[in-house]
Amino acid sequence: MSPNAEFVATFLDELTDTLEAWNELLALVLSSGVDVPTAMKTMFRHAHNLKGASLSVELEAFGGFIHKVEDFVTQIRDGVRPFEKTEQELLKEVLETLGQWKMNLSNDVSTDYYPKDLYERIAKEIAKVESKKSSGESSTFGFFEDSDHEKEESSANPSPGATLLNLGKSASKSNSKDFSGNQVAGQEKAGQEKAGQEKAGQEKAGQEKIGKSESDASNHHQHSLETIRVPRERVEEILALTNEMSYVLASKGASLSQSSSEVKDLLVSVNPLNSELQESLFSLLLAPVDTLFSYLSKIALDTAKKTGKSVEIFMDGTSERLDKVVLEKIKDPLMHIVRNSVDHGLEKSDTRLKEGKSPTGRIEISAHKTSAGLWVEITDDGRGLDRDKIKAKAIEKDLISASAQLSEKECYDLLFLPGFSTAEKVTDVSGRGVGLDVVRSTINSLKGKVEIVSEKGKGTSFRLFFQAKLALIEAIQITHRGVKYVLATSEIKEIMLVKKSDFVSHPAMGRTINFNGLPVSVADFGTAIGAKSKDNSTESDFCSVFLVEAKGQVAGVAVDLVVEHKPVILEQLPSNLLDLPGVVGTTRLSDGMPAFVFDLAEMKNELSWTGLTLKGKAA
Amino acid sequence: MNQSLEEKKESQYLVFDAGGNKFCASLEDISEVLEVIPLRVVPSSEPAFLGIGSLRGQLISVLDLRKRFSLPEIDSSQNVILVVESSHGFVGLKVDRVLSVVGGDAGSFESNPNYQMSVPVKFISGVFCQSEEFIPCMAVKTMIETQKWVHSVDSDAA
Repeated sequence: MSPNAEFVATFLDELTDTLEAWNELLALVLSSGVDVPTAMKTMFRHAHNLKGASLSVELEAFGGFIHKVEDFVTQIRDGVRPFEKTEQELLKEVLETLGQWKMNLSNDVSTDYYPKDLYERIAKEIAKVESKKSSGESSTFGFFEDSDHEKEESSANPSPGATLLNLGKSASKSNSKDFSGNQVAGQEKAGQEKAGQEKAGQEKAGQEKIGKSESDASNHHQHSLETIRVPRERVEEILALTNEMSYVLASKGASLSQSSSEVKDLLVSVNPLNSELQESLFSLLLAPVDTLFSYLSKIALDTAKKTGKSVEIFMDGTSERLDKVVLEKIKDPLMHIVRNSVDHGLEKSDTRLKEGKSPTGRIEISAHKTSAGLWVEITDDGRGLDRDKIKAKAIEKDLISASAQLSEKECYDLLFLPGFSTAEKVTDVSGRGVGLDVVRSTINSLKGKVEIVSEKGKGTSFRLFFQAKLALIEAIQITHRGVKYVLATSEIKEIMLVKKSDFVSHPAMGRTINFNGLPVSVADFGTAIGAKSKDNSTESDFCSVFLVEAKGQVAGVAVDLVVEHKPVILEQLPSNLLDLPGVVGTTRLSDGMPAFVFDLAEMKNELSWTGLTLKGKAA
Repeated sequence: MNQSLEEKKESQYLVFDAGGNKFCASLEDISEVLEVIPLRVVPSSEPAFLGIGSLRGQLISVLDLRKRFSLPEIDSSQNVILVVESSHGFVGLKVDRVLSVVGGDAGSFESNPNYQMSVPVKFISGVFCQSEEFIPCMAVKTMIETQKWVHSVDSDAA
């Protein structure tokens, strides 16, 4: 019988997940991020589940192979086998082989691919330890057993436990102990009560069956939660429907001015329910960044060790969540950045001491959530980027003309150009060009963006932004110079109606208003976003001033008119619009046209920020 | 210059006017032709980038093809938007009007042209030749992928 393709597809999903998890686990173990027994325990559980899954879709050959792997892992877990080069290499090979097997299976479910050679080598390895072990023990099957369970079992119920060891031979489910053990005990008891003289063979057969089904049950108990596997697209389909629903509710709701209050009440109660539905659906696609972050910190420590540097890692925002697919895809780019930060960003201890810094370098890995998505930042306190050197390099490589005037951003952008530093090691420019073009293209393909903030001698920060796939945000719709815009309210402190004659202008501070005794600079919204101001005719005597707070600093923004305050559905920006300053997405307004959604707190350079210490940058 | 006249392409071409000049584009590149839709202006955008609109709920960025190549803008009720699916999502190209679809046996297609004209040669994938008429074919996808859309605000201004 050939395996059912549909079932196998589900199985392959599980295999993919397992392989990913193993790869990560192996990397963690090798960098001593996890102790060996813990890692092997997890690997064992995965192998065991995989075995069950493969057998249930009739991939017997696969099941047999993974069973050997399971045994091998068990030996390491139980400490009867060391975790040294042989073991590490063998496990790596297993991962590669399983990957290959997966590919073959996805091409053809009845593939006859079978890694016979690897299977035999694993079997031989297992046998080596087994023969050593069995010389000291009577039971041939001892190594199958989970020693913890075995101890519990044998002390509580010695005789059925012993019976089970023999049964375990054919069922060979090593973690089925509790259940089948108890079951056996119960059966024997029942048998005694009946005083029946059942034939041994019959009894044995029955118990074997029970052993098998119980072990499946014990799987569920181990996870304690029932899970179902659903293709991602299905969740996305439902999400798209709820998205459409929100839009219908919003647009139809707006035109309901003459309807009865009952209809309005209905809308009022349906709206939040729909948002909640959206959010919980969306959360299915998310995973916290903590695993990724701890992996990155291991990379940083590893790199530091290799380059003879000392480093301290700080992590923040590890509970923030990101789309699982995105998480997987940004692993390599982030790893690359972290390596660069340690290798080229941080100085050696003696240099740092000369610079008056602490001898230990500092790497910060942080996640910060905003209304529109998630910022992931990797910051070092190293030597910073040298703009003159980057520019010289770019001129030398003929990427820019010698007379080019570059802004800070444009200058750092050069680092992301393909071929910026493929030729030689540019450690004097801190070597950041290597592969950064790949980083950017990966990030761009995820509709994210990456930017660099750096100060010579102080350090460098790589800031990556990933748009939320779908978000419902509190927002205020405004018009400015005749154009409709939307402002996210999350960072807005206050909105004031200001008579324009109340502004105070000073050559050193620009246009300011008095906010709680602090002169806060007020920028014109149109100027800040770089809009071509054609329509100045709508000048009235008043304007609305938004006070925005970000990182302990305040800035003011003047807009012509505030229209309304209500939640909007934030939609992702296409890649050609990612660089618009302050724009975090678009939303459809009731006129049917899209409008840009701004987060004023994101406009670091376009607004004049005033700190409480009055050290804000003057425009 | 015309060695490849014999190289016939079976595909079809949409013929349109842009700035009073005839152009064509491969039908494979154009997913639909829209009437002019209302657009929201984009701050700090390139002059040819007219704005963003909604195409059945999906965002579309619209460029004026005439402005893009400094051709005269002939605005009339016949103006249409050619819709192209690109890596930036839907992109619309505003042109004077659509004339016809040509292709097959009606003429021949010459690739690798090298004329000096106001439309850079890298955006012209060939010339469709029929009877007395030569219609340059615009490589709309290439043009869109290399298009500059917004100015990055100079963060150094201080």
